[in-house]
This record gives sequence, structure tokens and C-alpha cells, in this order.
Amino acid sequence: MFSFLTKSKYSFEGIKPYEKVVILLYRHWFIIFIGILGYIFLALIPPLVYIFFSVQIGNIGLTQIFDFLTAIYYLFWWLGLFYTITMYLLDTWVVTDHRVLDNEQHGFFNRTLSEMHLSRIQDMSVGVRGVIPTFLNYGNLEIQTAGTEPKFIFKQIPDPASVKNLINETFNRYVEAHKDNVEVHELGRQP
Amino acid sequence: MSLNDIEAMFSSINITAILFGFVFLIYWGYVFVIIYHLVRFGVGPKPKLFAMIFLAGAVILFTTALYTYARVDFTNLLGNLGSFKPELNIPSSNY
Repeated sequence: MFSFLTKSKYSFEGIKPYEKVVILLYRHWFIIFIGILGYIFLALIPPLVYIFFSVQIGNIGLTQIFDFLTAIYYLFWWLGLFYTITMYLLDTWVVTDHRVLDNEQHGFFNRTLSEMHLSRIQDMSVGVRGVIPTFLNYGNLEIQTAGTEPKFIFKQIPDPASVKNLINETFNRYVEAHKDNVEVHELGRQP
Repeated sequence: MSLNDIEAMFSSINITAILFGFVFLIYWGYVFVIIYHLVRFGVGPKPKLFAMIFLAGAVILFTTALYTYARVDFTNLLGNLGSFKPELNIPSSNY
């Protein structure tokens, strides 16, 4: 029943049978931490209201309605919290031994999925801008593709310099294994 | 069906129950959309695990909300509000 939790560590829709995931990247933990911190403050509002106005609420005889409204508040608080977590978890960048995938979730039912073959990588640059990103070592990794296609941007990823090196190594291994950019794994499948 | 029957039928409908039923319907629709996104588009097991935690929390909170709703006496609610007389402690020196 729960096999989907252990079946594949990095399984995703559209992965090829011969493809291996090199790295799966989310935004840096600090990005989600800020969002969760906001929700922690919001969670403190009902207890604070009760502490400061418990006498008045009791005098009017609204304790039960207060409990009910608090329960409703937490229902929607839970939705908001997990909306933030969902958006964080669905913004992913996957580097496989054949390609780079960019999954960006811009809200519910609004998703961008782009992919780029490793052979199309022309140039990579790392950008760490700001005080907190410098201290926590997160930033953007921009991949320039061949031609006039827009850049591939890994946004706010942890340790972008190491990721750049890893993609370089993966690219070199790919070039060694695929002479003249021929996909050796699919040769037998073609008619 | 006479006019009295229709009137009796409408008076027996609990408006608050319909209102909160509507709120809970929206809630479960939203819960479904979040779980759908996590399970369908999530890469690896982590989003699925979060979907399970989210569902468990949603069920617990919904049960709590239902329990607190059952405890509220909506018929006496307006009566309680009407009987509320705020105590004003205004210092006499202000006058």
C-alpha cells in the first residue's frame, strides 16, 4: 500500500528507464523557513486572543462559539501552511545523467515544466546576491543553452557552486559515453 | 402541499448547518487539490509523505471543528449577545 514511498528515491513522471537522477534540488531551506515562521505567528493569534479576552468571552457566554471559530481558523491555517509547503516541494530542479529538468509551480493548476539535454549546455554562471544568501550559501545557477533559447535558471538553490561543478562532471561523463551525441540507449529501439 | 407545509419545511432547515456544510465542502475540495498536486507532481517520496501528514492533520482538525460546532447552541447565541452590557469604568474626573 505504501510502496510509493520506497519504490524509487527520485521517481518522477517521464523518467526514462535508462536515466539516473544525479541530484534533486529544492530551494534553500531558508525560503520555506520564512514562510513557515509567518504561519507560526498566525497560529499564536487565537491563544493570545483567549489570554487577553478570556474574561470578556466568558462573561458574554461565547466560550463555545470562540472554540468553534478557533477550530475553523485552524482549519484554514492548515490549508495555508500546506499550500506554502506544496509550492516549495513542487518547485524542483532535477539533474539526471542525460538532461536537466525544471519544474516550477506558480500556483494550483499553473505549472511550467522545461527540460534541456546535457549536450545543449553552453555556459553556466552562479549568482549569490545579498547578505543572507551569502551567509547561508544559496543563490541562482544560470545555464545558457545553445541558440536563442531562454536561460535555464535554478532559483535559490543551496550551494550553487557545487551544483555547477556536479553538472560539469555529469556533462563530461555524458560526452564521453555519447560520442557524436548519439543516444546509445535508444539505438536498439529504432527501426 | 399547502403554504403552511412549505413554511414548516423551510423553518425546519438549519441555516447554520447549511452554511458550515458549504464551508466544509470548500475545505475538502481544497484538501483534495493539495494532495493531488503533492502526489501527482511531487518528485520522490518526500511530497507523498507530506501529503499523508497533511491528510492526517486535515482529518483531525475537521473532526475538532465538527465537535466544537456540535457544542455551540446557535439559538441562544443572539440572546447572549443581547444580554451583554459592557462595564464602562470611566473616571468621573473626565466630566
